[in-house]
Amino acid sequence: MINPIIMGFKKEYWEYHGSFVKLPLILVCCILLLPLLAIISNGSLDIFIYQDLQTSTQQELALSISTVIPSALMAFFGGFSLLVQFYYLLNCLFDEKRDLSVMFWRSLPVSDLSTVITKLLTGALIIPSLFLTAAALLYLCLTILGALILAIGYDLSLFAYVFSSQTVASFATNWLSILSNSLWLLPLYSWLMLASIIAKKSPFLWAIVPVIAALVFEWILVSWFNWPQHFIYDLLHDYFWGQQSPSMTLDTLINITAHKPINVVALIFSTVLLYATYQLRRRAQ
Amino acid sequence: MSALISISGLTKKYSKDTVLNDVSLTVHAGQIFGLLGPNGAGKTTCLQALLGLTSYQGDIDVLGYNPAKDRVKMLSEVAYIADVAILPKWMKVQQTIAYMAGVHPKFNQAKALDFLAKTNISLSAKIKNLSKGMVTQVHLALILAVDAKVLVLDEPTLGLDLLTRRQFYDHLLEDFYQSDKCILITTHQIEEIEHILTDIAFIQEGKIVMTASLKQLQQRFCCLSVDADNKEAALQLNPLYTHSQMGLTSMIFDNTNSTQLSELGTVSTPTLAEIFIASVSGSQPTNTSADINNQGGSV
Repeated sequence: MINPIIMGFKKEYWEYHGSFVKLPLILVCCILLLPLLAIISNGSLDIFIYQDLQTSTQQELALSISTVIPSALMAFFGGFSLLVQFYYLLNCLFDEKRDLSVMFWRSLPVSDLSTVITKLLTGALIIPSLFLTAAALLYLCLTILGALILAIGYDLSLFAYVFSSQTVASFATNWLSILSNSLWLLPLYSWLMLASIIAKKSPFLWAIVPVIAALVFEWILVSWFNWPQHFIYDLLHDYFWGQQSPSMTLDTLINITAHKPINVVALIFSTVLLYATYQLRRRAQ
Repeated sequence: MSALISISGLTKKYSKDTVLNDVSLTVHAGQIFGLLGPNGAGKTTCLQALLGLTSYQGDIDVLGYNPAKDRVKMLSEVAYIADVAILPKWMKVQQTIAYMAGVHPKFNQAKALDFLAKTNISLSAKIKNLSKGMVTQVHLALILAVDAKVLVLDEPTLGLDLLTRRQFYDHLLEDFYQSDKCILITTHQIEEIEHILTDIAFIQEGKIVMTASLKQLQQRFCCLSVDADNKEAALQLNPLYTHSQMGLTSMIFDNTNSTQLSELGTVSTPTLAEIFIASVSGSQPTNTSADINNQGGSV
């Protein structure tokens, strides 16, 4: 069936499946193998479990299972997801220019607009979704395995906490936060895509150098000409550190975007960058 | 014959440089049209404008589409090979076929698979692990499986060995060409495609200097080989092009009575390469062999 959008996503998967699928699976396997390494080095898991059981109440264990472990896994996989997203967005339009395959892609009946949108959605939504899926998979494996060990070895049943509504809410919040995070990070994603299509050699430098140059220029203006404030620095600082990310908090499922008010200026800025990216893709030869 | 491609007053400028200057061409169904010119003459720019890949001034009509506005719709009915080395290197052969089947409404997957089954190319092979000749075959399999009315080829056999080049053109005639389709092609290796071309246009410095069918060219031009004794007499007849080598002088004449020429020496039909050089070159090249790119003027 003819569907350029779906094929566009498939193509991105084929090209980057190492980063999209293999990497999260390797992370899952590594973390699952940690208890095995503990058994090999200590002979058994008793030392850890005894310590936990000695120092923790059942409520603390329940809290750990339903909130702390999901949060830790989400943060861990979220961090890797961001790295892969940045890598992908910086290279997605640069790679096809470098290997000249852009001429092949543009010889086919696929619009440049759908190509740019497909790549943006892949970087903004598909990649974090895959990493969160891996985190959820790992959570289930770890907690079911742990609950089984405690049930068999220590006559302690924690299965109710594994599938508790609080756990489901934790994951649901993080899944939904992908959308709000994407809106929040849209200017950054758009900037990286623009750097990717402009760059002839190093998209990373194209993404970084203009920002550093602007900051240095502003610093000179402020220092030498006594400008009243650092406009660009303050803007970037507020953008990246001034607002709490909803993925850091697990207490809200509703109004998640309230944590990061969607700045109209940021949306307009992103639209301009994406339009420029689209226009440059249209001129790619 | 219906016109599948119409170009009228095509002009392209890069700041002060005029790359294409008022180019007009018409390609009809059944034609295999060669756009021939030296490096930098504007051939590739012309094809890029034709495919909506670059901005331009003038009017272009491809199968009723305006390439600048309807590029995606137009490419559903136009097949295009820009260069053989542009297939994505990370892709597997079977992925290229699956992708084409997913995005191209006129792609026949079975035809592509049949074509590849006749080769020794594995479907699970990655493009980067194939030789250049094999990549060409994969690209050709993809393009020939598209039921396109127009096929545009821009230097399709660049860098390929003689055998692969010959196979490429054989497949083109056997598997693509029909009387209701047309092929527009640019290449350096004129002699290899001379026998398949029906029409040509010579382009130089962004201008079309000649458009003709191969039959017209054969009727219009003739080649005279004269020895030193008759050279001066032959020069009096205003040859278009003169080339002396080892005591023998070859001259290309345009619209000159061949009976009159035969009294001075041996008259023969010039090759397309010789006519090309005579038409576009003001200077005398050292020889007129097949690959004009290796000489003073190139196609």
